Order: sequence, then C-alpha cells, then structure tokens
Amino acid sequence: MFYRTPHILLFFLLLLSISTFAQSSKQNNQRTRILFLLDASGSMQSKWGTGNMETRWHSARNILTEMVDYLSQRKDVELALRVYGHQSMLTMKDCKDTQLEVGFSLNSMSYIKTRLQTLSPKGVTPIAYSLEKAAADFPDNKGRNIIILMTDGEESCGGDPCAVANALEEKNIVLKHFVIGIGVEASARQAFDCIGSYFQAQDPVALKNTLSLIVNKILVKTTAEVDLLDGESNPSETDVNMSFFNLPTGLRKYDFYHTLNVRGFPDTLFVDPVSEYDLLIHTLPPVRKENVALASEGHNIISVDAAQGSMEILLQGKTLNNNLNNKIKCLVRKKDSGEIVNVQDFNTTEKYLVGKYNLEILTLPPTYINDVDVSQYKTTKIELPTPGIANLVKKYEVYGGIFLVKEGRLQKIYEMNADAKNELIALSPGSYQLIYRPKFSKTMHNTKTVEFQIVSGESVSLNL
Amino acid sequence: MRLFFKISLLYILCALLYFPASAQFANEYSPKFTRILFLVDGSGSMKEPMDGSTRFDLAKNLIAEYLDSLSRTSAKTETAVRVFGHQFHRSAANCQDSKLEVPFGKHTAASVKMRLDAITPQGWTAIAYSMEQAAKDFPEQADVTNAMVLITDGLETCGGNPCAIAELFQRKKIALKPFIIGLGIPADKQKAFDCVGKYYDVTTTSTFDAVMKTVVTQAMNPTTTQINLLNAFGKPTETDVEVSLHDSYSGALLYNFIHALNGAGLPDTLMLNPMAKYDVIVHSVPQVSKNGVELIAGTHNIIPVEVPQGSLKLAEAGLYKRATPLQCIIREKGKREILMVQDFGIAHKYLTGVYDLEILTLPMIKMQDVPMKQGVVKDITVESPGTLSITNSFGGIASIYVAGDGKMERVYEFKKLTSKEILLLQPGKYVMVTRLNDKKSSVFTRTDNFEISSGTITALRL
Repeated sequence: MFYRTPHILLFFLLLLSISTFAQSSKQNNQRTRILFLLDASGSMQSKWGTGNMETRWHSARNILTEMVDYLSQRKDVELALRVYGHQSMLTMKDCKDTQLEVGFSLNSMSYIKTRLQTLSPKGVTPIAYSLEKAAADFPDNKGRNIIILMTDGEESCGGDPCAVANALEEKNIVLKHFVIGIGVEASARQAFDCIGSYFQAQDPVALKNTLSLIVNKILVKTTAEVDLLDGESNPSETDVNMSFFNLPTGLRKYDFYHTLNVRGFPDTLFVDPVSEYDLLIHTLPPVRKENVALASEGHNIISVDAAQGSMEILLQGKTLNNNLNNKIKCLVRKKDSGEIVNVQDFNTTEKYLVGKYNLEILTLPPTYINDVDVSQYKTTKIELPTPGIANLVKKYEVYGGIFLVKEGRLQKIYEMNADAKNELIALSPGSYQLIYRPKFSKTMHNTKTVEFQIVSGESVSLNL
Repeated sequence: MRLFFKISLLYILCALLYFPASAQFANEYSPKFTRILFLVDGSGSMKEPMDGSTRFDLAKNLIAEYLDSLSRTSAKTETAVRVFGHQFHRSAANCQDSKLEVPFGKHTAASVKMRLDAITPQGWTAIAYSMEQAAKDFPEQADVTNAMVLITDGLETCGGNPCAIAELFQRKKIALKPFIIGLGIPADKQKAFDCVGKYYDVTTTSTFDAVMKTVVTQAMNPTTTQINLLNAFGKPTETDVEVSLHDSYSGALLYNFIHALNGAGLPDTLMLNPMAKYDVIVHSVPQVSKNGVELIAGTHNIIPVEVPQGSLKLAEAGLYKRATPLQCIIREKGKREILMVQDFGIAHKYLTGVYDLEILTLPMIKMQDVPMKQGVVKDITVESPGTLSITNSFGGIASIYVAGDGKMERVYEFKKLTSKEILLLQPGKYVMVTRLNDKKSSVFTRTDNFEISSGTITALRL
C-alpha cells in the first residue's frame, strides 16, 4: 500500500513521456529542476576541515544556502530539497526517514534557506529509499530533472541506490544524478560511481568548489556540431541521421538529420552537456562513436570518419515484366565481416561507407560480384542485363527444373512448381536446359530435355 | 467411377504417346554379342608340373575344352587368344614378348588348340604390356561386351603396372574388369591382382568351368541398374527428382532423367554399360553426388543414394496480395552461397538438415537453424505487412528504424520524400526520423513513433 501512490504516478509520467513523441528542439531553453538530496544522518555532526572547526552539516548547509542564493537569479531553474536521517535518532534505525522538505515551485528558494536552518542531523542513511521517493518529487519529466546527492556515507539501510538511480534514468524521470562525497574515504568511490557522476570533497573549500562545478556543468550553455569527415578529413559528408544514446542508460535522447548550413558547414546542435553519449551515425553500414562527452563550455566539435561513395545498380535493356524485375534485389555485404549492410533495389543509387563490398544479386542464377570498391565522391556503377523470360506452357503437370551446364555438370537453378499450370521465369541471358517429365508418368524414360537460349529483354515460350 | 477410370486411362495412354521415350534413352546399353580374349601366360615357370601335367598344358586344355563346348552352344560369342613370354628365352629378358596367336573369330577351338600345342613356355611375365596390346585386339564396335581372361602363374616381372592398364580398360570402356585365373600363385601374392580385376584361384577343370560360367554370365547377360533414392530410414521412397549420370573418367554427361517409381512403387530400371564407371548426381536441393560407381555386369545393380528430404512451405498470413511475391533466401547452415531463392506461397523440398533463411520483408526477417526433417512439411508463416502512408507538403528526407535497447537499425530511407509515400512494413513498432525542407536544419529534425499492424494502413501527416 505504501508504494502504491508513487508507482501510479510513475506510470502516468511514463505515459506522458511516450505520447510526446515529437522531440523538442528547443533543448537550450528547457527548464532545469535540481533536487538537492541532503544527508542529515548522525555522522554529519562530525567536525571536519582545517582545525576541525565546524561540522559537516554546518558546512553543507551554508554552502548549499549560498548556492541557492546564487541560483535565485535564474528564471529557468527550479529547486527542491529532500533530506534524510533528520527525523529519527540513529538508535531507532528508521530506514524510512526521508522527507521532501521543500518541493519544486517558483519561490522554493527562500523556503529552502529557511528550512535548512531548522534541521539537524540525527539518524541513518537510507539513500536508495530516498531516491525512490525523490522520483515523485518532480512534477513532470519535460524539463531537465537532476538530483544532486550530498552525503557523508554509504547506504546504511541495505538498499541498492545504484539500481534505483539507474531505474530513474532509464524511466526518463531523472536525467542525471550527481553525487558529492562529504569527507568520505577515497575507497568509497566505487559505491557512489554507479549512482552518477561522483565528486569527492575532503574539506569545506572543496565542497564549495565541487558544488559550483556541478551546477556550472548543469547550467552552462554549450553547443555542438558533428563533423562527418570525408576521406580528406573535410566535414563535407551530410544528410544522414545521427542518434545520440544517453549513457549509461542507453536511452535514445536525440535524432538529428545532419545538415550543412548555408555556408556549407555542419549546423549547430544543442545537446545536453550533463550526459555522455554514444553516437550512432546511420550511414550504411552505421558508424558508432562511443563515450562522447561535451566540454563544459562553448562549442564542441564531434568528429566522425564517415567517408562515403555511392553505388548505383542498374538493369540495362528492355524491361518485359516489371513484377519479375522487382524480384531482383541486391544484398550488399561488407567484404570483411560478411554482414548484410543493405538490400538495394535495382535502378537506385545508395550511399555506402568507403570500402569493399560483396554483392549477391537475386537474378536467376544468382549473380555474385565480389570486391566491389566504393570510393569517396565516386559512384560505382553495377550494370546487369535485364533478364529474359521463359514462359513455360504446360499441357500436363510436370516435375522438373531448369539447369545450367557448369564445368560439364548440370546445376539446378530453378525447381518447377509441380502444381502450377504455367510459369513465367526471369532468367539471366545464357543457355539452359529444361528437364521434365509428366507428373503421372511412372517411368523416368518419359523424361525430356529441352535446350533453350535466353536473350536479355526477350521472351521464350516453351511448350511442355 | 468406371467411366472416370477409362477416361483417365485414355488420357494416360495419349500422354504416353505424346511422350515417346526420348532420344537420350536410345543409347541405353543393349549389347548384341560378346567377345572374350584369353591372355595366356607362356613364361618359363608355366613349365612347372601341376595336376599331372604342366601348368601351361593344363591352361591349354582348359581353354580348348571350353572353346569346344562354346562352339556348340553359342553363336553370339567371339573368342581370341594372346600369349606372352613364349617367343624368347628367359635369358633374353624380352619384355615385349607378346603375340595375338588367334584373332577374334566365331569358331576358334581348332586353331587355338593348334597354336597352343606349338608353344613352349620360356620367357618373362609381361602382363601390363600384354594387356595394353590386348586392348587393341578388340575391334572397335559398339553394342559388344568385351571381356578378358588372364591366365597366369605369377606376377608381373617386367616392371609394368597392370592396375593402370586395367583402369585404362574401364576409362575407354574396352572391356569389363579383367578376370584373372591364377595357377598355383601363393595366397599372399594374389592380393597384387585386387586392383586389376576379379581373381580366381584355379586348380582343376571343374573350377575353371565354374569361373568361365561366371565370365560368360557377366559378359552375355543384360546389365540392369536401378537407383534407389533413400529416405532417412533407408527406404527407397524418395523420387521425382532429376538425376544425371556422368562418365567418371571423361566427365561426359551420359543420361539425365527425372527419377520415377514404377507401378509397383519401385525405382524403374535403366540399362547401363557395365564396362564404364559412373558419377551419379541427384539434383535434390542441395544436390547429392556419388562418384566412381561401378556395376557388376550381367546382373541387376542397385545404386543407393541417400536423399532424405523434407519440405519447406512459405506463406504469408492474411489476405494481402503482393504484385511481386515475397522471397526467401535459403542457405545451408554455415555456407555463404545462396542455395535457393524460394517464393512465398509454394513449397519446396530440401535435404534434411539445418538451413538459414533470410526473408526479404521490410525489415528483413532472419531465421537461423531451421530444421528440415524427413517427410515433414516445415510451415513458415510470416505476418502479412501493413501499409505506412506518409503525406507532407514540403518534401525532405526521412528514415525508418526499428529501435530499442540501445539499438537502432535502419529499415528504409526516403532520400526525397514526395507528397505521398507508401511503404509496406512488417507489423511492429517503428521510429521515423524526418527533416522537412521547410525547416532545413538539424535541430528541426522530427521523430515520429508509429506502429504497423497487419493489413491496416498507418497514416502519418508531417
């Protein structure tokens, strides 16, 4: 019963996120919501810093107050404060001791400052539970929802804060978690690293700097461009879709069709700098660039080698039957891995990454063209003669097939459909043998062999 | 019922008339008569005593008696005698001492006896050379079964290779595999003749007669052959598949036919030249070959070939009718070559085994390790596609993806969107990423999620 409300809420949030499919392009004007999740467990009473002058709690409270002051000038930022371990004494081991002290609103900032003065640290460290609760603190996920966790110790209630944090990011409730370790051992990094970006503060000065650094990273204006480099390292490749996948969740965050602006340069993208990304360029085959991070400030250039050339595949000559010709498709495989990169239709042009490809063309018999070179700026032309057509006119239902003589041996390339009355078969130019016998016949001595020629763009009638 | 039977019988009769035995079967093997050449050892060792006389005299008498009886029974046999090692003494070491003493003729008994009586064994054992010469003794003539009977008491002493010559016999279809009659050859040395032909150890007249009966039976009786296409359980029930027969040596295509079971449900019979060696190719998918098949002359031969098959039936659910049938590429597991491109809507037979399938839907459906089992019709039914309809006023560029789990695979790209586009897609969830020409900038890239269901139209207005 206890979990019910937030879960239903989560569900609605998810629904909302799915129905808004046309992604916003105004990333740079989005509202940022920062939830400070502050540790008020008993250990925050310990003194720290040079000369052990003040408690961790006092430092954290004062530094946070300053930050809130600073942020109150920003119209595009909303703040909230959740605290844990401040309601019950340590001895009570109250693992549900977490409270949204100040929720998101336009004037939350002044409330946060006052509230901070009235709280005092006491209890345990239920990080996972607090994060779980924090999910419902954000009114929606249309903005950039960020949690900054400030703690002086690891989870002490047996929860798994990493799993909770990952789930929140995967469900797109929280964009990014930051963690500040207040005076914790360096060895604690491992426990916090998987929650989000982790920073360690050994003293009050470091804590102040760290918080500024994080907030700066969150609010900085950054722009980016993706340079798709051709073979001469010029950013001339374009008109291909690029997908940005958020790390570590792997959620697809942006799709951008790469565009050159009027001056012929890659145009500017707005990509949230708080996250790192895997970038997938949808060339054929796709190019992946992993762990793309944006610098905190200014214009970021992401360079990706994507030199491409074109391949045009054509049927030359008179077309007899469009439907039969449409069956001729070309499987384009990477020469080295053999992986199918594309299935290209005839009489089309397609771009591929520069390199070698092997083609399997579904003519009858199949045509294999190996080591096809696609090179920068060039169009590799593959021309095949249009097939001719064998028109099999059957008086009786027959068994049999069409054969090719290869190195003196018969090779079956087509098996006749024993149930079909007549068959139209598109064949590459060449000579063939039709071998058949009536279905009702009880002896192989009724087998007939007919040799016939196929000429490109011409039809041959064979009366069986 | 009876009327129907009569009509269908008439129909079959007409059809049979319409399908006369085709030309290639005119050259089915039907020998008119037989030639037997005796190649007799006249080397020095044939003087050794055996069975109360010498080995040579024994051989001489056996041949003479046999020819005598033959002349009274069969008019369809010609015989000849070649002797080796009889013209030069051992000391001359003449390895080309071989002579056709009596050429082929119908009644040779008297002249053979006369010629052999005049011979004294003395020289070397030039078996290979003599066999090579003997090959030329057979007149070149079709429709004759030739046989050679080698009578010897020892192994080649001239360094020749009788096995190679025996192979030449088969290669050029000169004669059946030689029959060797050994006179007093030690058991351990008899093995040397294994590659030459069939070896018989003869000690008495009666064993000689028995051997000659075999020779004549093989040379004179018709040789028939049936090809059993075995299913996975070893039963010859597979049929209706093309079979071609090649000469193993020349590679020449001799026959091709579509295998049939006769009225009794048995593979029907073919007359093949027993002097040749065959490569059999069964054009199942994939094909099966059996190389170097030898026949036993004068008998009914069964060539078993394992062709266990199952079928693959490809169908699309629903009523959607494509102008161009959907295709499926079929490859043998682990092989790169395309084995077959099968249209949807029909069934095809394949050898039992494991196959990889690529169905050319959008997106492509890949199926690995599809098993084909004896006599089983493997049904693969894919959902029928739905239609994506895109309307827009600006033109642009758009691509469609299957997305999820950090993956995003491109299914299709419209390089230049026209005002109305139609695309057939398999049921499922897709993402379309579009940049329209009215706002030509990356940040105005739009993403539309849509779902396709079988047989329905999903409309996107951009």
